[in-house]
Amino acid sequence: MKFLMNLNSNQLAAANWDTGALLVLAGPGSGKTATLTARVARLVEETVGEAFRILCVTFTRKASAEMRERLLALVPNARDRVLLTNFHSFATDILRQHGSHFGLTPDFEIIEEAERVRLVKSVLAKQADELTKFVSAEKALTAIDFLLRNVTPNVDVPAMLKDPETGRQLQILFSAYKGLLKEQNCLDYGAILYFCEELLRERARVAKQLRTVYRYVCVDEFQDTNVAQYRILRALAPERSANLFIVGDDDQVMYQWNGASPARVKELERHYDLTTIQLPENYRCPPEVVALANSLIAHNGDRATGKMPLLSMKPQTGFDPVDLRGFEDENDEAGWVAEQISGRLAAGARARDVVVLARNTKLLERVHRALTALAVPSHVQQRKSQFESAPLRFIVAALKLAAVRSDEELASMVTKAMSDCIEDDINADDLASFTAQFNGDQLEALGALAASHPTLPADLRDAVVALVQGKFSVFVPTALAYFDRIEAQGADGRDSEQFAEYSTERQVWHNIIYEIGRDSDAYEMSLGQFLQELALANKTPEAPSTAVRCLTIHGSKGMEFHHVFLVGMAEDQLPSFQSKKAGDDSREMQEERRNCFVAITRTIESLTLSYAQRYNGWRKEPSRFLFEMGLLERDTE
Amino acid sequence: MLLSRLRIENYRGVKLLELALDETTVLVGENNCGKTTVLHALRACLYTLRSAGRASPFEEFDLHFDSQSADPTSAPPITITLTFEESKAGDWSDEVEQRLGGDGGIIALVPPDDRSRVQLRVIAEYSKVTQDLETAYEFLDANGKSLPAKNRSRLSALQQLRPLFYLSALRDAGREFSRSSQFWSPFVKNSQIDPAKKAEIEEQLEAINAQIIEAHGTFKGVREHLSKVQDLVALGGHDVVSVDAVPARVFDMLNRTQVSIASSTGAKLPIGRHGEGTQSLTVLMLFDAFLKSELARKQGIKESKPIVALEEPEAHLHPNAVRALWKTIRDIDGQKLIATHSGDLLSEVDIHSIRRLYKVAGDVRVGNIPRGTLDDHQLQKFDYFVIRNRGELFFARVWLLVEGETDVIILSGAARILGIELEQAAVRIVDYAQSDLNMFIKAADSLGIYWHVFSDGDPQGIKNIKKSRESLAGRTEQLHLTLLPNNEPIEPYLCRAGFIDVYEEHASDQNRPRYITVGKEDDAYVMQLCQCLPNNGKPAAAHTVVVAMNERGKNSVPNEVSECLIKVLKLAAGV
Repeated sequence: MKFLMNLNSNQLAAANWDTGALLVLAGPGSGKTATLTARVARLVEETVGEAFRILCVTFTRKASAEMRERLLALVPNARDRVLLTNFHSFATDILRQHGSHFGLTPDFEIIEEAERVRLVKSVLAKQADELTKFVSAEKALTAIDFLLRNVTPNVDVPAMLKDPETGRQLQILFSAYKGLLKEQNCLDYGAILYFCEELLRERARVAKQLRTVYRYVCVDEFQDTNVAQYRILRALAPERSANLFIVGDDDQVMYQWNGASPARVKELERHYDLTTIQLPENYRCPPEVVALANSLIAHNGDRATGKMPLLSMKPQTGFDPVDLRGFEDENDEAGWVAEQISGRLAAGARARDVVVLARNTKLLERVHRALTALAVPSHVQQRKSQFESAPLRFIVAALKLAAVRSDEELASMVTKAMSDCIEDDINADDLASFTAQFNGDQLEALGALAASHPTLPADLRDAVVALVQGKFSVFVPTALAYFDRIEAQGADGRDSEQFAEYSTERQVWHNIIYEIGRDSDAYEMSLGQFLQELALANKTPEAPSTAVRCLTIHGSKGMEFHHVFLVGMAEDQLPSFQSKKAGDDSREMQEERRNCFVAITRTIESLTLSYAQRYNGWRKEPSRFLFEMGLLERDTE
Repeated sequence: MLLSRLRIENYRGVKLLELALDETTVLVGENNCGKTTVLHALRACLYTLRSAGRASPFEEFDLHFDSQSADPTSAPPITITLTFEESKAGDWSDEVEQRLGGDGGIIALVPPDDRSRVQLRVIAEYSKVTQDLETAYEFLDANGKSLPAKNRSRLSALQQLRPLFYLSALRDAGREFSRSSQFWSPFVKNSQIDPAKKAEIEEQLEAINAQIIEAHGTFKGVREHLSKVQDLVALGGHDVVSVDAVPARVFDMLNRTQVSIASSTGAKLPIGRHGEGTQSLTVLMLFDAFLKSELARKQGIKESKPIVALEEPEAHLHPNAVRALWKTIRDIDGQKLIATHSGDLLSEVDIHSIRRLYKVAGDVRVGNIPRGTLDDHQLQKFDYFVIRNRGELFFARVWLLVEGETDVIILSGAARILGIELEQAAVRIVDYAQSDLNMFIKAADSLGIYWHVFSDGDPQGIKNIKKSRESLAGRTEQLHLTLLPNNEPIEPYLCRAGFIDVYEEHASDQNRPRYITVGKEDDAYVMQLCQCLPNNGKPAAAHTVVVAMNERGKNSVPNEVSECLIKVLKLAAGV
């Protein structure tokens, strides 16, 4: 097995791990994905002829897709033997098969924020006399999310809050919300994990079957696992000697707000006869950056016992790759960073090799404006959970309507998006007049409306007709082909505002289909499942390769760049205001330190840190982390 | 993993049929009651149906038409549902769970004990768009809801774990031993000749060819002439044209292999030239050899175990051969579903595995004797009196249950005289004297066979009538029971019905003084006369009664007897 020959001795020890529980503590840039892939590939090759599968849970669908590609390159016949997935997709699939336990049918809908708010509002309105303590549906949802991700049983809810009455009311709301989800055959992200955990706990045979199928379980990015995910993992591998292969780094926990915790690694040690292999070798960063990272992270109290410092595997280059600059205010800072980047690009660096990192988006937007002023293309990543361009809004709303056939809100979303696409006013009343003819079936009505509409282009009409006939696999490509053509014609053929995001979102759509499994698989699915996959997919557009990326530190998880500019290295930025309030040794402060650790260890070649004396008019000290890294020294008085 | 249930809706003559299957299941029933339909439904779902490709498992005439005017566009969809279910949770092997479970899996866990279940539903419907039958299939969750389309790719895994091998009633050995046969071709194709050996053989073949052609002489000129083709079209190398006496390649040679069996004279005869019975048996043996060979195992599937569907294995065979054949069938490793018309075959079968298909008002029903219906003693009796000796009873529509030989003689004789064809009406007269009336009634009710109890009025007869009355369960007494009048046995009844002369004739003179104490005009005389019959004289008298009945004409058949026969006919007609 040639792929084992490129590994160092620690990686090889991990890749040769057979049975039992192993924790691979893998520092940044330590080749953990290569190690994990090699281990899985080896297992597949050594068990040819067996029918069991290896489960690999990664953090995102993108990570799964990337690892799939690497794995298939090593072992082409791994396709049927390995399941690469993430917790949400995995749990969704289990619920599709066994959700009948809760009265769910396999085509349940995965709902997003707007629909969740609507559900909570309906509960609050219906039980208005009883539920008096909730200020808003949004606030109530935050509490519900907390309960879901901590898999809180109904009985424990009252004790979660100081005020007994509020606790009692939250319990009522929580159970009513869950009941409503089941009744309406829908789930939200939190409920997917919550119900899956409940199912595996209550129906031992479901977990047993999964254990029969998945004899080996691997988890990547374990440090960001929350309680619900960890419980699911426990159900898949309950024995102390389970064949569990965990890859993670307690120094890179970044999702504490989502229920992750450095304590999870300790929990792992409690539940399993755990062997630990460390991969401290760092193949990514210059030695100077590794030294900074080691000095910084040593200030954290809650770390895995015996955690080794990173070991730099790169030679020194002779010039210092680390630069630190201080400025009067944030505009000076942003301006300077923009000039530096512009200079680097002029000197031959590629835009996609440069990144601006910051703790929050506001800092990034300032740099983005400064770069724009210098005519340097840049891109601030913004998390999107929905499409914004008229064409994709139309496609998604129409698909959803096709699944339920009648829904006032969806119907008006479809007509609105359709009007936006063709710049002609189609309103909900037009549809309503047809709806009556079809006994309230708004999908049939949409078909009739499309057929009789005077200005609707023939291609779109054909697409809608196919959708009404139940052929969504024809609808999507037909509609997209039409929109692509309009887009290609340029400004004349379309309302530029409605199409502004189209090309980016079209790429997102393409990626989603790719992650689901290319056209053939994706459009072969039932509409219900396709919508589920769509709901689970990440709709945040990727930056164009010609733009300098401006990412939050969270957004840079798992990535690497030649040139890293980390801005806003001041108190109340990194570390954040909230973490300072929580205290110098608080878990929040430690998370901020890990954020800084992750940020600097993205560096391949050069790291530039910067801070300003003033942000938003307030005087701020340079970040404590600069001192901890030894880049600044306190005046000794 | 057993195929435990099969549900067929609107397929050919079947509107709805639910069939529970065992490790071995034997289907019996009249012609046209759905046996072949069941086997073909299985073949359509487990053999012809494919997850990719367009081969349609159904044709238009497979649709169920419930009236003469019905046509494909209005026919209801064909729906076939196969259920594989654990008999207790945890029965299925790891490999089955692995190949069918997990992500995109098709194993539903069914409460309360969460046993594993796979349900495949195949639906074929006439599409107005394509003007053709369109077939779709899906797997179902524990609530019978359709699982996502992605999970459909597990169909091939299911078909590999439980491949279906179907052997139809028409067994043309010539075809079954050809290279296109499902069972013969694997033996032909999986050659174990190594390449070196093959080259050597082919070299020898070439030499032999050359020798034959050279010796034969006449081909030489032809070949030279044909070689001129080369001058007109570009062809490869020398010796473009060859005349082959024997196939030049091992591949061609193997393709031409044929099986011959020595006839009684010792001459080798190709198998297709033998009688139907030999052909049929040979094909069955080939089938068995195929199943036993590794060739049937699907590659890489360790626990591949076939479902074997056999249609009329008894076709053209001698009764003894049929009974012997059962041993071969029994030893086949896999789940078996056998359709048969042979009482001889049934005589070897466990009664619980028998399913009797029958029609009621056009609907197909399934009868079987579930475990526990008969107690151990009754099972032994049933095995002896029905299975071992009267397998044909399973093919009857009505059992006319009678107490003894006299009843059998009188009823069958009367039927003949009245022109009633009991065989054609599928009525069998069953003499329960040696066994247990209750057992027959229970068995008949379980199997969906109508019954009618014919009894005389002696104390035992009255007891029997009372017993059968309790089994009526709402059915009319009138149609199901005949009790002869006067609380007497059948002989005095026949005397009173006009055949006293026969009994006068048969009564032994020796006995008369012993039993007869009254004059002929006395009511008790008849009873006393009948006591005077010699030992074993009752059947002889009964035969004479039938002869007399025949001479005197239809009107001489006693009322109760003819009415009984008419009722039985009504039952048979399903009225």
